[in-house]
Amino acid sequence: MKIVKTCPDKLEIAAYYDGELAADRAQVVRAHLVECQACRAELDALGLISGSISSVKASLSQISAYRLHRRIQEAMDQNLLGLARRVCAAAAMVLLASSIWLVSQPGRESPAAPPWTDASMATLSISSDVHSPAGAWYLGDVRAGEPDARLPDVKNVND
Amino acid sequence: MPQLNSHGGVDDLQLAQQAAGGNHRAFHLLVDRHGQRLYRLAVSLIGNPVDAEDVLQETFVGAFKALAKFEARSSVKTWLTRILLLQAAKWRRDRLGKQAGAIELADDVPEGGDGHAQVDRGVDIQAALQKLGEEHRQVLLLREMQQMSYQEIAEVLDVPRGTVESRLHRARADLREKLKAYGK
Repeated sequence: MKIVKTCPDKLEIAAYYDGELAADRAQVVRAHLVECQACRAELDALGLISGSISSVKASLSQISAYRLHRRIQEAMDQNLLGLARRVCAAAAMVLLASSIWLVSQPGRESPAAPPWTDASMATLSISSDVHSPAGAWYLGDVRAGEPDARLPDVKNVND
Repeated sequence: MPQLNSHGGVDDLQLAQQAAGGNHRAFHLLVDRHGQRLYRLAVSLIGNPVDAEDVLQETFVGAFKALAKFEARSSVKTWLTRILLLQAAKWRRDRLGKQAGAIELADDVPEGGDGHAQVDRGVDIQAALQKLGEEHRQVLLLREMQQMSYQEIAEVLDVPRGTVESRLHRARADLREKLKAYGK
């Protein structure tokens, strides 16, 4: 068996300790360690570090595990809620677009306006209905020479 | 689709895929599988169990939200560990931001005879770990606590394998020095 006379560097000893060396190289280092006290001390030091860290105890308690699952479930529920909102929004958009398309179809009779739209319809039609008495009064379209129907009859008031 | 069972019959990747498909129970199983391991890592990274629990929660919530993006290029274990490291780093940044100037991370090694010699060994190790630099603490804990291979650590930290080796070597030397200060 070939035994190295010079010490492997510390990175290699660490790799040996961590089981990261290739088998043939690990065999060479192992043989060296038998002979070299300094390298064995280095290996022991690595073992002490591992032992120190493994002495750190931490365990997720049952109540902590419960809180963890609950927090995740909340995130899942929020995710579902968000999805539901997006679906509803998409459905509303489709409904709106369909309604607009239906109304705008040529040759289709407009459905009777629902009662709650009367006021707005009347307001919208004023500009095209200025020849009706009410429209003329509102817009001041009074024929020249005729008494202004909007004014009260002052003669009768004086009597 | 394979059926879930409670005996670990489905591997992590299958569980992640099922969870991404809307199977919430599959994700809870992943939490059960990796929760303890990640919690232990979180406590060592953060230094206290209360904040570690918060970081762990955010890790899994973040993982759940990112399930659709998980492409299985690494193992689920590696992926979750990476998320935990990011969350822990974020927590540390936030904490340092809030307490800037009030925290002395490097220079409060206890001296002999001041009463600290009696503190629990685990607490000393924990304190020494907290005094390591972030990179050293991460690589050391991934190796010593999570028993990850150099290659796995390289994947988690997204660095070359050679960097893992050298960083691990320096981290061990650094921790050894800090433990000497505690008389270990």
